[in-house]
Amino acid sequence: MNSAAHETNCFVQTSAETIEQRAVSARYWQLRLRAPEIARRARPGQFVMLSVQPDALSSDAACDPLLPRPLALLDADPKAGSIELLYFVAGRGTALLQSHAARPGTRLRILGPLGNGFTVVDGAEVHVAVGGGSGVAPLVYFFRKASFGNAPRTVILAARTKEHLADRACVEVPGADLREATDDGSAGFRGNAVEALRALLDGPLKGKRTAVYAAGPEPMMDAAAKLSIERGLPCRVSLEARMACGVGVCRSCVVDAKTPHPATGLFRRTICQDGPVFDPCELKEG
Amino acid sequence: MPSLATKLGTLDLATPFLAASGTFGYGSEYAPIVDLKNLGAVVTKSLSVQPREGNPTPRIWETPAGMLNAIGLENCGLDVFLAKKVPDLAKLPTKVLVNVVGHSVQEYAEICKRLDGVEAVDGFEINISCPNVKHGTRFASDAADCARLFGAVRPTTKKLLMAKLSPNVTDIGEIARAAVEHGADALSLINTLLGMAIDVKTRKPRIANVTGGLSGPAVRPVAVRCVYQAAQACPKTPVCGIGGIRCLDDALEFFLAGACCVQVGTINYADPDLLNRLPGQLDAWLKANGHENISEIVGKVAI
Repeated sequence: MNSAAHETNCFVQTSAETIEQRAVSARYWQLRLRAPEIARRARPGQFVMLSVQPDALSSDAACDPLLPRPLALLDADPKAGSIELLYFVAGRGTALLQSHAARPGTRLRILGPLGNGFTVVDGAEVHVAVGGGSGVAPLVYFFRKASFGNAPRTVILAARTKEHLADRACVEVPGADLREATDDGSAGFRGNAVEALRALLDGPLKGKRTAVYAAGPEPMMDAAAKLSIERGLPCRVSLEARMACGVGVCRSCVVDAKTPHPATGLFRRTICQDGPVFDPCELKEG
Repeated sequence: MPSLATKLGTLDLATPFLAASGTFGYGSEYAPIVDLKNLGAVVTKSLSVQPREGNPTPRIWETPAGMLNAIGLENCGLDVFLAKKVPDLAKLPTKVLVNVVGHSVQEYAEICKRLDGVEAVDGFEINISCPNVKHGTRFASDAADCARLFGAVRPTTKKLLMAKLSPNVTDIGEIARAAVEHGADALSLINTLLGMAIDVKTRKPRIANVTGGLSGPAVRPVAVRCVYQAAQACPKTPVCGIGGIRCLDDALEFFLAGACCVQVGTINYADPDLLNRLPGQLDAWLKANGHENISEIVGKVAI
């Protein structure tokens, strides 16, 4: 392995300084951190483990909550030495992060970048991203940074209502057709992400060899994968799970594959290290 | 740093800080962050004769200052371990202790026997205390069973045998004595405390196995007490303290209670770099307090 490749496969632990936190919808927070070593190594689809307590806290105060939270990267700027995360308050940890930890100047412990990240499916004529919830970040990062040649790209971002969609500036993907879908029809397509995908595949993309990349709530990803497989289209999903370590050692975030892992002989895969991006055809259903 | 050199039975450890089983993989996973020369030893993920896929998910749940886990001893099994893990373990610049689990006395003995000639393995942590599998703590909760196990395992190997004890017992001193009298060279404690958490909305357990093992800073006072009692029960046997260490002061508590070394576990998930910082911090503390070596404070709690 040459040294450049080695560096891209390496993660670091660092103390990242909060630059800015901004509400980008009724639901999402965009968090920008100074973390040059992570920004330099990061690839689209990777994530970080972020502590939800300021570094400055004493050991006693910092041990509750104890575990860092896995958050997908929304962007990384190696020149500026900064990374961006997009998250919503899902529980006690992210609530603490939002209300106390993520203030400009605050330093947060961070481990990353982690996971395999997205790669462009070879031979596809069209590339479609389908995202909702916390799946928006990795897809937007991927569609912004990856090289798709001249192939047309569409990004479907779904939410319950218009208020829950992240603002355009935060999720803009130059060169891609950005489509919104809301359950109540208050913005864009009326319906969920997979219904929007189906409409696209049955309409403008009918007959095209389309690669589908899905990330977000599990039912959405399952349905997107199922639809893609039914149509014979290549698909990649970015999975999420509770995890403690982020580097493959705690074995919390496992899913089952159809074939044994070359290194362990087990059917288990860790979402953190073997993933988070998988070809759903390689995983067992359910 | 000579001040940190410590003896664990026959083993000379460079520092009294070990990485606990199940929190550090096979040593190389954290290599991008942790300089393994800062460790006295790496304790591997539990190893069984047959491969184990482990428990269904969810496998963990965060609790106040701690976490519950029920991984279920997922591991590659002895054959794959020998073929794929041992060559990498041989390259680690630190000692390697293999954490051993089994369904029966014979399985424990088989692993130790087959690894006895493997140079990369410096010793065994005999895990008689996993709460997340059926009968996982039988050998740690019954002194006669514990004695029978060590009686069978001791003849299979000349390497270090360390008994990893469970806190889920009435008298940990009794179990400690049974292990030592039948061949254990050292004791490590504690494994996790059996716990449970319930989602009151769905009324379902938070982890699929229903119960799980509690670890992290929440368990530390229990662990310090257990180390104190085991060290009192077996004053000539080295004790490795485990339980919720997340800073130097925590480790010092264990040394004073009677541990000659400690394992850092759950906090590796949040702050793996701690293992890089602890040796320098301990060296400075020993100097500042007029000590030349860590051994001078082991068991020196003022009672």
